[in-house]
Amino acid sequence: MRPWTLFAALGLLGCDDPLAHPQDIDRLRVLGARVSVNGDASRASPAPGDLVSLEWLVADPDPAPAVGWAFAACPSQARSRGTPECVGPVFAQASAPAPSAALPRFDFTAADAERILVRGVVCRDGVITSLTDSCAGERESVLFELRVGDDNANPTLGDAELWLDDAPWPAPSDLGAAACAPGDLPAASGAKLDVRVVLAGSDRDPIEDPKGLAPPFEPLFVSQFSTLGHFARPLSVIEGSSEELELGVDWRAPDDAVGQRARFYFVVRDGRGGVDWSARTACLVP
Amino acid sequence: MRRRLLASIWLAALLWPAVTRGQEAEGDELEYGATVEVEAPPSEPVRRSVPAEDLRQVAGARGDALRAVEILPGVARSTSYEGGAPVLRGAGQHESVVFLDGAPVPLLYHFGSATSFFPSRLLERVELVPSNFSVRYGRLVGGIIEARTKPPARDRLHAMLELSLIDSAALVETPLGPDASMAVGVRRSNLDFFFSQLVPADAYSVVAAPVYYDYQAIGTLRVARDHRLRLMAYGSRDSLKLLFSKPVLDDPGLRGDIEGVLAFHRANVTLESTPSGPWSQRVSLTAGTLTRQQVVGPLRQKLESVQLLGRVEEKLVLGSAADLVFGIDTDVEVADGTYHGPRPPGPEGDTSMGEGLALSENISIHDPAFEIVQPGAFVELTLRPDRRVTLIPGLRLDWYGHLRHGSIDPRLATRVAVTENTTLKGGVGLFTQPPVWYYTVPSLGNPDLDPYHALHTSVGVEQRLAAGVTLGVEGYYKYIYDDVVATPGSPYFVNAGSGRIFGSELSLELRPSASTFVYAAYSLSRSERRGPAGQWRLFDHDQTHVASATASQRLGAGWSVGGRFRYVSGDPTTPVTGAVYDARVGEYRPSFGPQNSQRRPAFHQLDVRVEKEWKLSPLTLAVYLELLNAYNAKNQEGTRYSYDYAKSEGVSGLPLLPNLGIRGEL
Repeated sequence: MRPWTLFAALGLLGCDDPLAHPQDIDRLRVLGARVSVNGDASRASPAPGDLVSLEWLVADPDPAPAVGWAFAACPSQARSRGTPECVGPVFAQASAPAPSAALPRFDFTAADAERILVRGVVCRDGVITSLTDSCAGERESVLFELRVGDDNANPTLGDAELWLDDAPWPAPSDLGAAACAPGDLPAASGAKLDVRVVLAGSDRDPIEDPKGLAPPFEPLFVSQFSTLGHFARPLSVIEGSSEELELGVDWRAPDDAVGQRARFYFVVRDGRGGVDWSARTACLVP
Repeated sequence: MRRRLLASIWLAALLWPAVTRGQEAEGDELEYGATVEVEAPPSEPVRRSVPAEDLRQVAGARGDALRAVEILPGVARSTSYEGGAPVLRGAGQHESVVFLDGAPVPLLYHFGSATSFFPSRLLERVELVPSNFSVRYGRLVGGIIEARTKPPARDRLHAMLELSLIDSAALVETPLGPDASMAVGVRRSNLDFFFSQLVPADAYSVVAAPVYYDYQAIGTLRVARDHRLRLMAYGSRDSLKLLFSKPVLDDPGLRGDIEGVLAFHRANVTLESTPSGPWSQRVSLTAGTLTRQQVVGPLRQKLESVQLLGRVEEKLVLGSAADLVFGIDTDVEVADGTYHGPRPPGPEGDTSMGEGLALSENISIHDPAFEIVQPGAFVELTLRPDRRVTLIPGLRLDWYGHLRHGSIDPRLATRVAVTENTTLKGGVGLFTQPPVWYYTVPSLGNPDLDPYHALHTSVGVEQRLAAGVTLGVEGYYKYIYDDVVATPGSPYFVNAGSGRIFGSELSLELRPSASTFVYAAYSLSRSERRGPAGQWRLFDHDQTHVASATASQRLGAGWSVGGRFRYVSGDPTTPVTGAVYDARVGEYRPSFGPQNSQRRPAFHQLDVRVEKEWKLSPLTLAVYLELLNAYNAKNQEGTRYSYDYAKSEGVSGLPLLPNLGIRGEL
């Protein structure tokens, strides 16, 4: 059987020097999207007729970029591979009336479909009304496919414990401030610091697999990003078979940014459409 | 968990065609060098017959006769043979098969592209039929490569030990009385001794470095004056286990460990009866097991199968003007396996194969319960109405039990000796192949798939220009219909594709003396496929120009040198025109331009081989150095992209690779 092969994977091993680092926020980026259903932030899958809110996490070297956006929802269906596509007409769409620093949010009523595909465009400093509009600034095309009728809950990072070099790391009171703020943990210039994330057991749903091939829980994928400095890797994984819910990754502070404020984003996914995120800050000191 | 067996029975009949002219030509003239003979035995318009001893000497083939067939026209360059065989005349790798003494080989090369599983010293000949093959073979729409084993030496004890950086091998041949002889060989890779020094230590830890081994045992016994029994066992095993220290880049689909075992074991018994009368017979039965177990992070597959292959051929000489060959061959397979991973891609033309593993939805199959029963029968008549004209009409019937479908394939080949030095040849025929078996497993694909078909036509001429100078020119056209193509959604695979392939091939053999050999080949071809959308596009491995020149020279005093140069058009590629961020998965999905509308840069490479041999009676000692990619060409074999597909760069193939070896023979 040739669906995937050992040596296709082996070939990737030689590519340990990527052309760009996804963990570095060096331009306008969309980092994730989070579903809430009928105001319930824990639900990741709607039923037909439910009110769905899809909020998009946007990050940029600028702490408060003004972005315009446009989104459209259409029915879609399962496919073995390739980019999801609409299989019916668009049933909901919306756009931002003006560029704003607020996170984009698209509200719509779930259609009676197997899946719902949301496509969108996020545009810096521009007003767009449709997915095909051009954008003078940076532009990011995005999509998110919801499975209607699934029983899946969002993981939560809001109650997770984060640590920066063994110090408790609280969420900032004002993420949009450019300058260091009271409460920011210090990070020495050029230092390599240990970042740890401790998740709760309730963040992952059990997997029911009568065939016994799947692990008992869904895995959790934590992507980490920073606007300054560099994480050692872009992704950490807690396997569904693991009892350990703590993960760690090194972050190296930049040498030449003393006095600046670094912002950190952590996005957790359960691989089934459940998403959550959290942000932290640090102040770079000599 | 239900069990699943996979077995193959292969039955058929009779004698192999009469000894080819290539075999007759063996002797001092072929004692050396990269000697290639282009011959056309009765059954096919084009059968390129090559003594294995000559192929072993081809520079760059690392002494592997089955790999050296790449020097022949009609064979495209491949970087991996996961599909089973080389790309022959624009056909997919899964559409051609390598046969070892009539039985299809399950895994040709160790790790998909390293050394072949069978030592060339146990081979007598390797024959390539790139299309229009005889009705004796079926269930294929591409071409065939036939490897024929050599009877073990009957004169005295022979032994060989060879050590090189890549692997080590030992072989013993000995007579066992006046009517019997046997050969035993074994080979093991040496990669594991230095593999951990070659890989980035911070990426993963090596639990078990790649190791391959293979073994062979052949025994022959003359059981009566006209009957010869041959017993053969052979097998191969590849394995490795690596443990990721961290996920590869940002692909959540690649994490955990990489582990794999690919192994097969086979036993074969063949009885040849060649009485002096008009009837002769060959009966062959092969039984074996196949194990394929792979783990790539969370993805896993395990397949255990049992196979029985049988073939019986009968030949009846109807006089000086006609022969009749008929027989049956049957393939039955039953297997047991589990699978967790993405749905299998189509046989080719799938642009999403380069996407991250996490972007595909995985499926789990505990019991792909599958049984294959494929009996076949054939009859072929060789008519010689005139001493210069040979006509070979044939008919093949196949039944595909798991598809509940049959096929009838008529074929015709002809050869006309226009003059003593000029032979015209041609062929036309239908060929039928079942879909790759797992495409028809209900939980994986579409159980309603049918076999697909190809029409092969070819014409050519062989011209002996002068003593030691032979020119061959062939042209061909193939049309594939009801081809299996993948669909994005259910039913995932349908018989809605077609293909057209046409081209021309040129070969020139120069043998000015017994110590010099030059062989040049050039193939010009175009291979296209068309899916349900109706637009023709290039085949994934379409290579417009494939040119190679091979030469060898014996210098005296035990010295010999050889070289091979290849120039090949780059494979088609599909341009990435943008990307969209999939926020559900956290990865970018590429968007593509017209499929296979661009090409990689052309490939070119020079391989060099130098060997020095000492005769220290009764020992012969040889030391050789082979330089693969001697001038270190940076050939692009792939493209890698940044996480958002905004940047890209070519990925080069193997750099200059020396292989030093020593060989002792008794």
